Amino acid sequence: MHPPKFDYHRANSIDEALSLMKQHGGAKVLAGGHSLIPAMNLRLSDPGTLIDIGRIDSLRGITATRDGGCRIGALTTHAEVAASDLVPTGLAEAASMIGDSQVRNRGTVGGNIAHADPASDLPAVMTALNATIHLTGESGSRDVAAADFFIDLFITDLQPGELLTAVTIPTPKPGRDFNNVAGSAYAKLFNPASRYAIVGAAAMVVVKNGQCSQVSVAIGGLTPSTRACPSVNVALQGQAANANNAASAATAVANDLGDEVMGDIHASVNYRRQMAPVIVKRALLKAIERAR
Amino acid sequence: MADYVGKPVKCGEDSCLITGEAQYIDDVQLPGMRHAAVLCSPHAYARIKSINTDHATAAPGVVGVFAEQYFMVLNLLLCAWRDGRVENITNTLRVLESEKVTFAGTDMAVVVAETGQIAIEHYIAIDDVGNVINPMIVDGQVHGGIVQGVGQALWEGATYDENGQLVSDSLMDYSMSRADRCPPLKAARRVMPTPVNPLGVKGADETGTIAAPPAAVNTVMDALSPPGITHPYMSLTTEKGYNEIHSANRGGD
Repeated sequence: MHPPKFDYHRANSIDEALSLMKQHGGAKVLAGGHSLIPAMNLRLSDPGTLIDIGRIDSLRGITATRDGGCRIGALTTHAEVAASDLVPTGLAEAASMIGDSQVRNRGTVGGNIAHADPASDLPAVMTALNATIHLTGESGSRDVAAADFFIDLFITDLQPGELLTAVTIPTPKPGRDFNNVAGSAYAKLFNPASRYAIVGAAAMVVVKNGQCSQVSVAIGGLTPSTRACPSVNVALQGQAANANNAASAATAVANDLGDEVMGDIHASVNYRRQMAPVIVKRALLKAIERAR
Repeated sequence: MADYVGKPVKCGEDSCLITGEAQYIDDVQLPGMRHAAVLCSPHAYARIKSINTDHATAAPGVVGVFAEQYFMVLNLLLCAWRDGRVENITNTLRVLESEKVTFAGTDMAVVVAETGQIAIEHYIAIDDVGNVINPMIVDGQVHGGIVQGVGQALWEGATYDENGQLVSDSLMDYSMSRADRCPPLKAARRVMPTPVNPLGVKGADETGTIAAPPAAVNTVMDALSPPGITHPYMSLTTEKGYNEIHSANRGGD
């Protein structure tokens, strides 16, 4: 289990990283290395050149944004997110369920999102929380909504030469902290060996006068890329925030899954499909509870 | 030691045990024989206030329900085969506890929920390893053995593709038992020194592996018996649990 030969460059700034990426076409960016290095060890990836951005401090850390949301630097580790009270509860919860503590101490939010593993947890959370992904390239920076960022199996909107620098999560009500306005949650049925999601669901709910005034659900683990769940959102919006409504809205997830549900040795297509509404329901129940 | 080392020692065990001709309690069928089920405490170190037997007594087929006071006059006949004779070696044990319980439950309790997730609430092992020389090592062996055995029953499984290629070939795919799935364990001992060696010791290595898979499968079978499932096969993954329940509910397919 040794990786193929590769050249190693360490970037000390974002600009240096971008120019190294331009110099070495086809190079891979190394952050926490918890997806890239195993892929190289299994010879699934042979990038030839690695550009290590792991010591660029400006890419690290969580800050509260002025409107009440938060900004998470790409190099922030899952452990830091899990322990932060600046981030939505559902995001901290999802981060705390990733892998084991060694993985959470090394793995980064940016690396996770850029890798876009279908069984990964954060893409669904970012989609449900309407996150904005910040990308920087030689020709400037651009922002992409999470819902548009995740395109397919391991494919994102990240273009060659671009670096994912941060994620911003807005608050549903500008001026008020996210966790004071909305309840958010993540639930997953995980593969007991790897802890990757067999089915993972993220939910955000705003409750006003006992009714769900805003609902946003996304699901992952069973489709090539994370899916927003508009059918679930519509089914719960305007309804009283209670367990019965959450359970019946969760069944609408069948309409959002399409026919691209994937099966593997850990769980069949049918089992994943059957578990989707169960896991969506669990996420919704927790989110509603936290929204009160 | 000099009497034993380097010299043949005659095996003291009955040959019918070795040849499989021995009859065990489960083999005994007698006319008018009744079967008993034992209710186990859900709590450890708890005091028994009262036991309500009304429901159980009213259930069809129940001959009677007996609490501790009915057994005060009896001694538990726990017998051991020793040097060719049967001997009652414990005559001080109570059959049932009347005032307080020390352990929670017996074997294992299993709950099957909507995802078919199998939750182990408790596992208690009672092993006879003969004389114990180092209790820490014996407990470690038993604990490790239980975790290994439960893993075999519930999670582990070598998976091959249609070409015979092993696909569960890493610990990312092969679900070995981990600390977070380990049930609360209690390893207890009933020491019966063996007469066939001078130290009175028996094997203690990973004894948990022997009882854990059948204990796990039997409890799952018990939990799944209402929908009529009688033969779940290892490893009892959540998907298998789900499929078993649903195919039984559909009348089997």
